[in-house]
Amino acid sequence: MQEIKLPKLGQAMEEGLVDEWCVNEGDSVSAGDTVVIIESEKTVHELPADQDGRLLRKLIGEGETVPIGTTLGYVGTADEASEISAAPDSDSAAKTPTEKTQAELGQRAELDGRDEPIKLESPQADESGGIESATESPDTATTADGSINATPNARKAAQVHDVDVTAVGSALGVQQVQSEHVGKYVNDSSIANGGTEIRGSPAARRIAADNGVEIAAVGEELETDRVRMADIDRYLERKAEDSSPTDDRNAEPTNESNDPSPTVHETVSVTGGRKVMYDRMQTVSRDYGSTTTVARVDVTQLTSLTESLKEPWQKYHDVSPSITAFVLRAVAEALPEYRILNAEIVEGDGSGDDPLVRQFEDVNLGVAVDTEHGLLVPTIYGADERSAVELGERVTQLAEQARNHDLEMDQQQNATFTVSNAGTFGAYINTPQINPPQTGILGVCTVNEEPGIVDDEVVPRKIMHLCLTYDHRVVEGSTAVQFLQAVKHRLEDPHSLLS
Amino acid sequence: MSQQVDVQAEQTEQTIRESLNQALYEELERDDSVILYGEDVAEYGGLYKISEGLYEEFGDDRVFDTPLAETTLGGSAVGAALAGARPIVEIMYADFLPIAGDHLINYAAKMYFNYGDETSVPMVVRSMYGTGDGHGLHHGQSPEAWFMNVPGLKIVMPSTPKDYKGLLKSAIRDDDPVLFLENKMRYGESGPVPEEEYTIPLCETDIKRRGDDATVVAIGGMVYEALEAAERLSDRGVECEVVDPRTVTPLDTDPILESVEKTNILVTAQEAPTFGGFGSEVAAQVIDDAFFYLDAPVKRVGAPFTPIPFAESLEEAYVPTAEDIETAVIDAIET
Amino acid sequence: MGNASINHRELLEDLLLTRRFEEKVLEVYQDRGIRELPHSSIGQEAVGVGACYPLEDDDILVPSLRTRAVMLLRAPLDEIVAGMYGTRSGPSNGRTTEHHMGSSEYGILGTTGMIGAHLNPAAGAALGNKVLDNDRVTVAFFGDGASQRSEFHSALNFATVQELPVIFVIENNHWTEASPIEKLVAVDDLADLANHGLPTKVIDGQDVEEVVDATATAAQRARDGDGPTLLEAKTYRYRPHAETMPEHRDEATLEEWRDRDPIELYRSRLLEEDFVTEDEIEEIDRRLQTRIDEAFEAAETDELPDEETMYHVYKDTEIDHWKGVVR
Repeated sequence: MQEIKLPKLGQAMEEGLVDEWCVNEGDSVSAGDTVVIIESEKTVHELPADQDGRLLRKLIGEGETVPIGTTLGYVGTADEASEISAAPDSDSAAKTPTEKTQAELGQRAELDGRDEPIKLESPQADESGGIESATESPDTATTADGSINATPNARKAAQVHDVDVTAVGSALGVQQVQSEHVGKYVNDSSIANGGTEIRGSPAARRIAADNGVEIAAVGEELETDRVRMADIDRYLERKAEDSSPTDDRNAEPTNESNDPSPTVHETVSVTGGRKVMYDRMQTVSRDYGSTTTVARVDVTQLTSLTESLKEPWQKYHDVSPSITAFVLRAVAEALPEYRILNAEIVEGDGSGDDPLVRQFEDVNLGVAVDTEHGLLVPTIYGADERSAVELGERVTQLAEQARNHDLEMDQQQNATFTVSNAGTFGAYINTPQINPPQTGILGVCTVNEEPGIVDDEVVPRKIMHLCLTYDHRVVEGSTAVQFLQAVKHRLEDPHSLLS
Repeated sequence: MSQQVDVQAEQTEQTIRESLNQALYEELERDDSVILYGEDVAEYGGLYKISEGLYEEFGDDRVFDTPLAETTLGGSAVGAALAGARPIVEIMYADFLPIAGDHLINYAAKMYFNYGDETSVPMVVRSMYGTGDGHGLHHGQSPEAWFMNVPGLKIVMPSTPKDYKGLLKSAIRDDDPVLFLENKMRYGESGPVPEEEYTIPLCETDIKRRGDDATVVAIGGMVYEALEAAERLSDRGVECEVVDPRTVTPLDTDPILESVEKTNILVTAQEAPTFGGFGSEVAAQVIDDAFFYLDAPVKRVGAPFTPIPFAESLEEAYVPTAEDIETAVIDAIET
Repeated sequence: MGNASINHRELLEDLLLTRRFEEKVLEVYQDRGIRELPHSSIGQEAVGVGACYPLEDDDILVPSLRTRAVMLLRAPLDEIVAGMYGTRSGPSNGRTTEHHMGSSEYGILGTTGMIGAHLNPAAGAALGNKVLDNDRVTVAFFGDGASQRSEFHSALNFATVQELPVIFVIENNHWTEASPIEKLVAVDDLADLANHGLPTKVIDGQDVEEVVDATATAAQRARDGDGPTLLEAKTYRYRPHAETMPEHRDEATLEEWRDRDPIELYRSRLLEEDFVTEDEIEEIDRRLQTRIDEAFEAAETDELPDEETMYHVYKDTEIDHWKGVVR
């Protein structure tokens, strides 16, 4: 059984946000499938299953922020489901140190493969003064780490009804389970069954087998965990509709000309990485004061330089010199002077606290890479300490990893500023969106032959636009423009970037 | 043995009491080896007046009163049957059957097995069960489960007047010992009974109502409750098939299995406590032979696992009703 | 002598058959075992033999498990022994034990393992015969133990009030299993327990002729439609209740009864009165012994029944015996 914990994704990371559960409780997963998407201070990360099985339990709901080390859920076989039913409960049971509690703790320890059963998954509990410690009084309120507590009466009621308080808590979305919650859970079978395995009635199983249908698929499709005969019929009808090459309008051509609504080609769910993008861009467009400033950069020298460096770089570094590598170098050099752009915003919690801007010492550059799984942003750590060729190597390497879906967790985290190159697609001017909670992003556009003026004469030049989008809530316009100019000047004097 | 009932035959409306009396009359008249005896069955006509007029008609050689001794009733019936007569004994209340239990279980049920020459025990023990008349702990128990586990006994629990008559006549003619259980709360129920002579074979399950949505297997008096529940459910769009096995043992399971294979839902109904009862056996048979047709958990309607209470409120709570069957069907469908 | 005419040689042969058979049972049981646990009737053979003697062949006998004489005088020897072994030539082909065998052909009413449970069925058989208007008499044998049960009273009461053609014969061997009768019953004569309005008679169970005589009288009364009779035959068994039980009875009392051994008493009398000679008795004995030995040999080599034999539960309905439902 796999216990999915919130990993420590960066040095400064203390907590993380459960962004999205990609599978429902009871759904089957294969090793490598993304189970949950979490968001740390700087990045989004997908936590995969390390084994085939099912998502047995979600302990933390979407949108909840929990400390690192917190158990988010369990993946395992159906048989193992019973093991975990007792496990999370031991947290709350730990508050009343009875023999049974100790037994449960022991069981938990065994489950974790650790010797220390107490406070295993709540590092924050340590920081918050041992709220979760085993000797604490039982009337402790909601835990800070998102685990579920129960009152003694609730535990008693749960025992009577042979249910698990943790299951009650997660089903009802409460952290402090009261006895009335247990009653509600027990009386509403739809709640109680929410996390159980999908089962088919004998008749349903027979008919499913006759039709070559998986009971689990029917349950998932119809969102039920008890599949009856009629469900198989409904499922088959639905599948027949889905697989039908024509929809209703095509089936009845007379309607076609009368119906002005567009014919649907395909309806695609916004899930996984796309959902992350959806949510984050929504956040940015809703909350950020995004403003874009554009610089026109003469890269004639730079292109000559890259051309001339082609042979030695390929020979000695196995990498082609690219505009991107030099842009990164220029950005990395300029950023320390404009730390407000090498920063992140820590939003207020709504209780009157002021928002904070955390300005970083390190310059870790995120590089947007378009892949078939969507846009990925691997991180080049310590970009300010790397040469152009090193940056070039790193970009090539990370881009390949990204395309191969082979990025390590930390390779997608902890960026302090992002560079996005839409120029490769031919964008003349492209205004990028900030990757929250960063404060700026630089968009690199395509290089065009344009008339330029050199020594008062119009001559052909190679021109590229740089678009800096910054959060005008915290970044002054002048600062942004100055930073962009600093980058521009470096790029127009490319040999300086080779030092 | 059985004569098929002509559906076109003339029928008259009769109560169960009348149809039983007629069955006894016809069999006493038909076969001189048939005798009827028990407490108060002769001159008094039986406590529930089932044998009224028979003593007068056939005389005390054929219809006579006996001492208040169930051991004598059970034991002498076995002996008389082994000797070649066809005794019918009435044991006033089924609650008293355990007193004759030794003769039913150890004697009557086992002699065909014990003999090597096809000698059997063609006796009928008529006895009354039925709850709801305030008779309390010892005068209304439904005893079928006490005897269901005895190989060699046949247990018949009819429901309608027509079945009562046809089945009693068959029971009397049957060569095996038959426990014929009459629901004393239902003697007044009336229904059509063919005017012509007929019998209904033992060990044949009957379908009392057709329906595609749920199978309710009810026994004895509960058949009426099941039919009432079926009517109510029909108003809600649920059509129940009411299956009446009529003979508890040996049970004719094929029609039950066929019905469940059609409806995919099984509810059983009996007056006796649910645990270890007739319904449990039906459920087990269905699970054994029609498991992959079940689309819902099997629901068993019956009494709680307590003695029959005396107080009116308690008795009301105890007796299974049409409402309980209705609820069970809905439960099964909505599970 | 009473109203029964007795062929003494025949009656002696019946006694000797029973004695030699019981001796053989003990010998074989002790030597190599018998599936049916012997409850020996040795010492009290005259009751069963004497009571059967005056009866008609179609009269119905309802024995206790110790009334071996009834089986021996009604059923084929081979079948009886096979019944003790549980082989396929036994009664009902091995389904049941010889102790409780029933047969309409042999006029033996089947019984059960419940002491006294056969008394009401015996009355019922008499009732059946009365209803069927035949001339049969039913004779029920039972021990002092059964006389202590309610069945004894309910059966006697029913038979008396219905004037049924039945004879109840108590084989009072003075021991109910391992307990002496005087500890269990407060009357000297068990016949005194029955005050149901029927004639009772206490007889010497060691005197086969007295048993014959009393039974003949009772049978006549039954056939005349005058109802039942209770006979109490005083006797004694030489063996414990069952062969697995140790003997703990008083040796002196046992010896007293042995001195009045029913076979020896009758034999001596017949010799004394020149009804038979020693040679003739030896000849009878030899013949009986051969028959008995052959019956045991046959049983010991007989085959065990097939499984199919036990699927014989309902006469009128075919069932699946494993599911218990109609086939």
